[in-house]
Amino acid sequence: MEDKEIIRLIKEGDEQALNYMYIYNLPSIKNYIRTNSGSDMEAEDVFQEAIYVFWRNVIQDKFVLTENSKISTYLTQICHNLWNKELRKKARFTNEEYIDPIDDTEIIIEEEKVLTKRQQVVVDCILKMGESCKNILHLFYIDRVSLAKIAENMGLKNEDVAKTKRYKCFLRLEECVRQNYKY
Amino acid sequence: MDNKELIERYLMGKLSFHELSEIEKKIKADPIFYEELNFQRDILIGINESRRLQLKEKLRNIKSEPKIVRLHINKNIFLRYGIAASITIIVTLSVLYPKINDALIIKSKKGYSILK
Repeated sequence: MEDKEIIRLIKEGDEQALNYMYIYNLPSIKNYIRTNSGSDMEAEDVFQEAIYVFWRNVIQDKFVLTENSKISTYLTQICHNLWNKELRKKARFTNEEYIDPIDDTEIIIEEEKVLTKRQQVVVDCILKMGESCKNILHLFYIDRVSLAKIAENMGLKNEDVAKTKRYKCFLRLEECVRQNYKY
Repeated sequence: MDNKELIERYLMGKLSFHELSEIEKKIKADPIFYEELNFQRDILIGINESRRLQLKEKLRNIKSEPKIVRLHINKNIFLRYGIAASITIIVTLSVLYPKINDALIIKSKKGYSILK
C-alpha cells in the first residue's frame, strides 16, 4: 500500500490502513525496543500509541506527506521518542541516571494528561453506547470525517440522516454524563 | 447559531476571526455559558480518549505476524524454459559433435601409433 493511499484512507475514516501499518512496521520497532532494554510487550504498546499519535497528526494536518517524507520513518521516529520518554520514566523510578540520546526528530509527543473525573465519566458513557453511536461520534468529532462520507461509510441514506444521528448520539452522551457525574 | 453550535464550532476550531472575538467576550461575561463550554470541552476530551482506547484495542487484536504471500507461478513457464533449454543443448551438441569426434579420432590414431 502506498503512503498516499494510507493518508487518503485515514482521512476518510477507513481503518484498513491500521492493519497494514501495524503488520509491516512492528518487526523493526520490536527490534529497536529489544536492543534498547525493552520487551516485546513494551514494543507493542509503544507502537500502538505511536500509530494513534500518527493517526491524530494526519487528521489534524500536522503530518503532511512530501517527496522527502515516509510514513514508516515518521512512525519510527515517534516510537523512538515514546520509548525515550518511557526509559526516562523508568530511570526516575529506579533513581538511575538516564542520559537522553540525541533526539533526531522534531516530533513532540504531548505529555499524557490525567483525565478529570468528569472526563472519565464521558469515557465510561461512550463505552456503554451502541457501536453506531460510538462510531459516528468518533468519526465526526475526532477523525473529522465529513457527514457525507460518514453516511457513505455507515450505510446511512444521506448526509442529513448522518447529521440527525450525530446530534441525537451527542445529546444521549450529554444526558448520560449529567446523570452520572456529581460535583 | 445557538450556544451549543457556537461552542462546538469553537472547540473544533471552526470559528471565523469575528466569531472568535464574540465568543471570547461571551466567555468573560457569562458564567453559565463558560460552564457549558467547559462541559462540552470535557465531552470532546472524553470522546478523544475513547477513540484512542478503541484504536489501541483494534491494534492489539491484529495478528502481528506478516501474512505469507504465495507466489502464483505459471507452470507453463517451466515447460517453455525446459523446451528452450533442450533445443539449445541439442543444437550445441550437433554443432560441436563432428569437431569432438574428429579430435577423438586423431587422438586415438596418435595413441595407436604410439602403442605400435
